[in-house]
Amino acid sequence: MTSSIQFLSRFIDASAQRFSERVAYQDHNETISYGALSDRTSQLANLLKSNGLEKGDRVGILLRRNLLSPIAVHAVLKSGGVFVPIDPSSPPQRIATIARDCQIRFLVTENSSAESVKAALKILQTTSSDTDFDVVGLKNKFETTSVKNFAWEELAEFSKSFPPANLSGSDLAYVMYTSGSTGPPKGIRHTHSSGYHYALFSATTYGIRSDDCIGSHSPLHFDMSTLGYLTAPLVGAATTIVPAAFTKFPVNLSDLIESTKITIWYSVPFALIQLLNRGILDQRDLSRLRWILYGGEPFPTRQLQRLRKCIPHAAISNVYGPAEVNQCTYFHIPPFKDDPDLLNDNAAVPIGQTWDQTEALIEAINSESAVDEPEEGELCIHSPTMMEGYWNRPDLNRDCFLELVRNNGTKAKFYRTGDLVRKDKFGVLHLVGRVDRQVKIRGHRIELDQIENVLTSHTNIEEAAVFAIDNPPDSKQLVAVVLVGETTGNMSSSEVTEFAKEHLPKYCIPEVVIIESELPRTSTGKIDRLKIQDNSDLTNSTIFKKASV
Amino acid sequence: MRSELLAFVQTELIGGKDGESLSVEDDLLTDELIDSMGVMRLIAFIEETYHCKIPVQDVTIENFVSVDAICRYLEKSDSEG
Repeated sequence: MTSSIQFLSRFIDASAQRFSERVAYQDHNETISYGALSDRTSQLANLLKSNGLEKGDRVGILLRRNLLSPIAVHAVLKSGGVFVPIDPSSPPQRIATIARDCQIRFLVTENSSAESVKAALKILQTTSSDTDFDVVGLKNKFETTSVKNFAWEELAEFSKSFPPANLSGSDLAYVMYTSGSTGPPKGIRHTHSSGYHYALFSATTYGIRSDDCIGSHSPLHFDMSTLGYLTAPLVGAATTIVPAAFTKFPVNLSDLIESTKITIWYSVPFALIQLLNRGILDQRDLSRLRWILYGGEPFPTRQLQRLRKCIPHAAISNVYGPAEVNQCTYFHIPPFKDDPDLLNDNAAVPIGQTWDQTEALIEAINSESAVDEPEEGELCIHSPTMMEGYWNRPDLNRDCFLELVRNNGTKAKFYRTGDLVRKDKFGVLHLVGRVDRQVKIRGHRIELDQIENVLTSHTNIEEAAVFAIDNPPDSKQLVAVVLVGETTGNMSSSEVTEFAKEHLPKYCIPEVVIIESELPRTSTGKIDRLKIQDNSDLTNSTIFKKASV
Repeated sequence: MRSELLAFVQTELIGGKDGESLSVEDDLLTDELIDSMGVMRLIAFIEETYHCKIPVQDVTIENFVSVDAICRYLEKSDSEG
């Protein structure tokens, strides 16, 4: 399988040979062509190599969503190094934790992160020796001599050509850290082979061509960013990197989609719902937008249907797959103009079918008797796009894979996704919920995600977060936090309860309903359920009041 | 108005960040001083405090990039309104 792979390290130079003048990356006021990107990545690769970077060394990237980020990613790959994205809004402690965990040799950053970088270095230097890193991207040299810093301007002194690194498909290319909200962050190890196959399969699944422009809404540390950072340069497409400020202002975001002529959009559902509610889409020319991809979490179906009506010529796809496998299934929704009646407000959109060269296996859980091919259970995936394993975590690597011997005697390693799925009679996969979002209350097995689905089918409820809290002595209590939007009508908590009573079995009706007009989000735009749960004030039916902002 | 808004942003939206002091010209967005929930809370605060309704098309980076920009926008729309 690895004989014909193209190495991620060569994507930029290969596209630069074909389309030197064409835009590779852009934001609202800058562009960089493939030719210029080839030069800049070679210069940075030369800087790293001449200062001691060796094949397989890890390089942290602590950059905001700007045009320095593709230079950093592809320079590290070119040099034979392994890039490790770090959220620039991380506290210094988390930066230090990741740097120490995968022993970062360099950190590529920019001046606005100077204070965080210095604080992280201080933590590393006081807690252990020999774990600090050199820095690229700050304006001023460090006062202490142990850490070197190179300003971005110093790249100009280095050669614009770089001999291709000698790599194999199993060499590590990048390590993505999960948010780690429930424990220490886990580093997901992807190789040149898994990254290449993701780029190849995503390009073929969505028909991405060199004349496309991808709207990359996700920050680099989120796995959805790989469409812009890896797939686009494989085919020579352009990518619009959405700067952070634009993600908070839908009016500016819709303007960016129009002005940079985005043809393929990829984001979490939240960004699209914001665009629908406050993006003045009726005043924008979105005729070039031909395919909208969403992933990261389910899209409330009623909101999705609004999106289809609003952009009737665009196809939409539900992209599914944990970062550990990059992506593994897709479900295509044809343009509204071709099939207006496709979606039913009360039914969640399926995750669909597996993509190329990928096997799905459903493993029964909580089952008393073994079933050969259960229709519902935990989804396990074997794919050339999947990770090697977690960085430095033999304990997790033992548990997260399932070793199987197929009927023909070959062995395969399947990744346990932790997601419960159901296969329908047509072979289409449906997401039921997270294995760990299944709770038992007074003997009833309850899927929290399905309660959320039902609640969001109400026209006045935009989004919902349902969780179970301990409520001794009566085992657990269900709490629903619902987002009632400004574009919809008002709703009281008793009306929500009434609606739940009409559509759910008695044991699934939330005992406490909290109405909010905004919900906390993770840095990637997903609903932050843990934060909601931790900050809920049940007595006053509100969230955030307990939060120390 | 400037000091009132500055105090809200500083204590309610940025609060706890090492007590750094914010100025009216500081860019709230490029370095991600406030998140998307912060933007919504800021709008809600302005609408409540100054008894106004900010039209959707005016909720832009240009009008919200700094405390100064917000004040200029509010003064302008007040004189026009």
